[in-house]
Amino acid sequence: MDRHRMGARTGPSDSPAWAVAASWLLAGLSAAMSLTACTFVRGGIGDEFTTDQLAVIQKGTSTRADVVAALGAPDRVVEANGHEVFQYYRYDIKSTSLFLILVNFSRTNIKSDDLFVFVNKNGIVDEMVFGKRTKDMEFRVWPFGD
Amino acid sequence: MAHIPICSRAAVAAVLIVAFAGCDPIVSFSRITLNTPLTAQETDFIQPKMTTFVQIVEQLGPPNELKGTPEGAVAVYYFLDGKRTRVNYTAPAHVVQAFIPDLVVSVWGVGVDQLTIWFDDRWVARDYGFAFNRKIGQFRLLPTREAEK
Repeated sequence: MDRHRMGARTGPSDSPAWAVAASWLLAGLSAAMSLTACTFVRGGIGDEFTTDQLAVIQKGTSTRADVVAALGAPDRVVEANGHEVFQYYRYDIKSTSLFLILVNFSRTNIKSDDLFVFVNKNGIVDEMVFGKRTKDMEFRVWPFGD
Repeated sequence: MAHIPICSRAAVAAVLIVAFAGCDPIVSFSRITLNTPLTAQETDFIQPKMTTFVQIVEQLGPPNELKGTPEGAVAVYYFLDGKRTRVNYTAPAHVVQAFIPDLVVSVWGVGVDQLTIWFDDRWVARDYGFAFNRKIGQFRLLPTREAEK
């Protein structure tokens, strides 16, 4: 009996084409199923500061009322060196999780944008500082390293 | 030794993977960070009695917190790094017996770095210093092992 003509196999090297294709298909399915889930989560606290809002605040001319009209009530008010310091902040949160069969990886990054407005005793803005730390924040899943 | 066809081996692997898919993973690594840590090199430009608040903000960005003091003000930059390791030591045994109790060990630590800068009443830096507590935030497989110094 001709074993090759009947599709019987004596080793991997003489497997029929359909068996090789099926094994690759199963291997692919196995690999796909080993990645059981992946999640992306985005969160935030506070509204983003717009350029229009920031443009309203001018050193030496804007008043306390102008600041509050543009940005709303501050998140925090501090008295320092004869200034009333208005602090506004927002937080951006990006979280990624990779759920594999045997191991899970998860990473959550949080960064803040902070705006400080220094109002003098006459109610006029003396200084304004703004930092946007959230602009270069990415979704990252690898929890090791920096 | 009987030869096992390659497709059968793949099928067995697929069945095992599906069987594991509903199980708790053996190991989980989680990390949460707040802001980007500053290094001592990045603050070298700060000269007490010379560098102003605005110059510092131009280099480091605004602080996370500002407080008034009788002598002036204090600016604080916070950086947080939290790491959690969770291991289910009996998870591999679930392949043969689903009702084996879990033995889960979880170790976590949150390290907080802080840069504090003191200003005089003219918003000129008087002094500054770091508080490094990030060593506690390490991935550890056993709770009995102390964090590396």
